[in-house]
Amino acid sequence: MVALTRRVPWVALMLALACSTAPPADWNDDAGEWWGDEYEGISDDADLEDAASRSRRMGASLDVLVDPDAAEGEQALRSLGASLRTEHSGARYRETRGGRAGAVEVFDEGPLQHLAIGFVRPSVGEGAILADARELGTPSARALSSAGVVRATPSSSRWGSVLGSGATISIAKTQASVAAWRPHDDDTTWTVWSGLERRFSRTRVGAAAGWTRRQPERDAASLTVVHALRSAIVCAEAGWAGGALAYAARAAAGDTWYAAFTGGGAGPATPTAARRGDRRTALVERRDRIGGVSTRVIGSTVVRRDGIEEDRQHRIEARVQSDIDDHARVDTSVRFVERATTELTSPLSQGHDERRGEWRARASLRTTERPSSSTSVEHQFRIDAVRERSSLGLAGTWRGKLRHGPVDVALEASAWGLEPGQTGYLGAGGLPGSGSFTTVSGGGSRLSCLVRGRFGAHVPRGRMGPQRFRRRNGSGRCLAPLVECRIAFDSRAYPLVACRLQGRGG
Amino acid sequence: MLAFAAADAGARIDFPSVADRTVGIRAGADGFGPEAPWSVETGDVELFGIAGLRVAGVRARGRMGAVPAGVSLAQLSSPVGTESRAEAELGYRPGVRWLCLARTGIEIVSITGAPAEQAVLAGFYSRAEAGRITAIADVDVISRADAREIEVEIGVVGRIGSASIIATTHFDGHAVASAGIAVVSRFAGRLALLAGYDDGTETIRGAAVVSLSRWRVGVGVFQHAVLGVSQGVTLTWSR
Repeated sequence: MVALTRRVPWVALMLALACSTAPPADWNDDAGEWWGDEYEGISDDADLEDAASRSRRMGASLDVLVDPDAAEGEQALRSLGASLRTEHSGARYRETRGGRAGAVEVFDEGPLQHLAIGFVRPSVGEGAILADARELGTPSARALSSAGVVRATPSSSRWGSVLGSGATISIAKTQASVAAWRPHDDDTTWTVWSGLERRFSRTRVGAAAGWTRRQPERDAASLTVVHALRSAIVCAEAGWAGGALAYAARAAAGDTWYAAFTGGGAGPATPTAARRGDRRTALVERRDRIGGVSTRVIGSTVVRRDGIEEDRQHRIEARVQSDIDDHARVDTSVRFVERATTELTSPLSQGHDERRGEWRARASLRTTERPSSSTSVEHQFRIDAVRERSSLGLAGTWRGKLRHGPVDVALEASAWGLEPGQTGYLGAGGLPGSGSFTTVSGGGSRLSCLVRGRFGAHVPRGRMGPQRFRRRNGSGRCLAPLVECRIAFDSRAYPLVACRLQGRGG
Repeated sequence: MLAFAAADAGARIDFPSVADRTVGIRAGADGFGPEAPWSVETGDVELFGIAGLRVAGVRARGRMGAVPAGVSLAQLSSPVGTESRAEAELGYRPGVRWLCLARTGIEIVSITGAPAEQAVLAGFYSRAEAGRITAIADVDVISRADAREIEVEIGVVGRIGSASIIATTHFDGHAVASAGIAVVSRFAGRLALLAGYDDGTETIRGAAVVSLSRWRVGVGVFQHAVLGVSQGVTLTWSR
């Protein structure tokens, strides 16, 4: 009875939202698009860093994720997230049961190109010495625009981030950067990096130096060169850390092919120093588009040595995306991964060698239908297959979304038959702050429903909402408010309620 | 029931009968096609040559504009008891590209010498057309007193001329996932033949359907390597 009473306000809110007439907002929670350890890397900030905070437009958002059926003594609040973006500044904050994280940033303010304070993800050059910790499991090709000597990217997640600050000042063709940080749980290990970068006509040259205060103290240096050709760009970095050399190279030609190589000690943000032969990676990617068919082939290899152990991971993946017509699309992918671990206790011993292969394949069909101007229906039919340890596991997912006016209803049914050692990946349901995916194993099924209602104005691509929802801020720009509420029922995770207050300005 | 799949190259898997659940085959006629706004079908299947083990059912379907509806009754009879199922379904079909159906019903299992067990059924069916491909999802939720089962079936039908290839995957919600494949070919608009294999039930299927005016007669045979041969006949009247 108490639980029922607690839900009454939400039901009343949903009824109120159903009566409003705002057009549907973009709904980008493409559940089921992940293999968990996807090539792009795990983007656990994707839910929070919505369009309001990613774009340079003004915007603000507040996300609250509540578990109404939280157990006695358990916190009902699962996630609280907030982000604010003005023309030259931004802030983000996220609180979960795992902790709090947030950062403030200022950008493009006079000579100050970028300043970030709080939880940041530092990186240097091409990642030969210092790379984003989230990229360590899988090689990841960076965006070309991210070339720079020392970068401190703000984060609202504790995973892969450190506590510190970074700033970049740009004067004419010269750019100076400085960053300092420490781990969350260690206030004695500070790391400081500074860098200088100079742009020429088609070339950019940068140098950086870093120092870590811990026992033993370590220092490192890096030299980065970026050169643009007619239709390609080539980047290279050579580094020195702790007496070892490290290097990284990257090349890209248009959208057709892409390659990146890293050798030496690309390591997490802390500690900063590399060890000899720590990690070597290579990544090659090729994209093609022939008519309505897009293909993408990715091959990568990672070798990591630690004392007498050596881990190797080789991966090749092919994706094909084909448009059947204007309303339907087929996606197919296949990926093969081989992991090998070698342990050589002495040069004379035979050692221990363990190899494990796994392949995954998936096929999905997406369709879109618009029965009327205010109604649209989307479907996804998806089959996933995984083969590991000589047995085949399957998972099937159907997902349907019905959008009518301000209300969206999504229904998803998944079932899987996997071996105990196999892992399948399912979408998490599209609630902000709930994560991108969930893992399953063994056999089981899940039925989930997500209802989303909006109240206020939606701003699709630079167009402001109805006049009655507008308000003027100090600079005369519009800020369109948007209140959004999502209620999810999951046969495995039970009900969750998420509420988002969001506004975007032109 | 399998025979209806051959009659309709779309090979719908929308006949939620006891027979489907027992033999693991989900195949039926598309009673909501533009050519048949109303239909009544009845079927009888003898299972594995065991005396007294058979499935019989009847289903009526209709369509009022974009809203299809239907009811179905089916019973599995065996020497040790019966399993009866009644379902009603209501759907929405705004055009030719998409159809959804929600269904609810009740299932009663009576075994000699034991109290009858009752289960509440709910389900959802969705079918989307994309060019020469039809994708189908069928979700069954069976709520019993002590547990709830969710079964999911996803099927894809690809059409090449007068032939169709049907691939289905069935998940029983525990740890079993099975796949099936079938080929349907139609001749002269009145005769259709189906041949297929289902990995989950380990059965080889074969069916033939003859359409005459408003009547359609189908016969189907499926063989299990251990349990033996099952055979059935269905009769459909539509207008």
